[in-house]
Amino acid sequence: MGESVHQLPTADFVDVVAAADGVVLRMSENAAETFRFVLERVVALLERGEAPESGRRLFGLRPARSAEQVLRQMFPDAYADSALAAGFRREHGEAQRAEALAAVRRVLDGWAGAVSTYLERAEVDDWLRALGVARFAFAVRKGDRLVLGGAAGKRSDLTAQWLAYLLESFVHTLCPSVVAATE
Amino acid sequence: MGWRVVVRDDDVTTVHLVAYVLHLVCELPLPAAVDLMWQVHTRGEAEVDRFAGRHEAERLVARLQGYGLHGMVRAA
Repeated sequence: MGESVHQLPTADFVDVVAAADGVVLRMSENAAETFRFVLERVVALLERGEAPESGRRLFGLRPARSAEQVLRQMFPDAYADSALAAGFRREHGEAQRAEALAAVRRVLDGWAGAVSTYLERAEVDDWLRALGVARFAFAVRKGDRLVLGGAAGKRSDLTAQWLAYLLESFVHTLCPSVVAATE
Repeated sequence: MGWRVVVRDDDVTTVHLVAYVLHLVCELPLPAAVDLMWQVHTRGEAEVDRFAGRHEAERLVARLQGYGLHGMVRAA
């Protein structure tokens, strides 16, 4: 699994603080702009099939990922057998993408890029789902990083770290006992 | 014959998030969710539920994937 991401080497910040029946999400302006941009890229992927800048050809070593390849990272094979996996996609794929898109849209509409916002539990669930799938627009589940060096690769790595960091912050605040149970 | 739902390990999702999502989506008590999370982490995957019908198993997998976990269906 991924390593702990509860520290980031930057002056920007994001944190999640417990509040009555929800949480308060706080972040720097730069972080807010970044999250908004990232989530808008995920909307573009899910709604219009536009691949995010998640990789590019570098010395011919690694081709850029198509939107379809990115979506297969987000929603990976549900069966080891390729025919069954294709059947699962036919049966559930459209609904999976629609539900993810709806969650991201609710996040963007409800939050509106504010540096501080109160989130009810249902809104937190949208954030968890939006961030949970968004990571795979900028990272792969297993193996090498997307790009072997280069600005695009660094950007993708950093974006994935920010998304993972915010997800981890939500979990720490929503369920501190899960953190205690794994220490 | 039944259908197993397994969660596979990845390089991105933290141990805390895996445990929390299993607790939330599979409605497992926290200690059970943490135990399964460690199985995912150390063995590469863990069975998180089992169903008589394939459709129910697929619905759970779709939900787990909706939080970014790699859920899969396997024949029991």
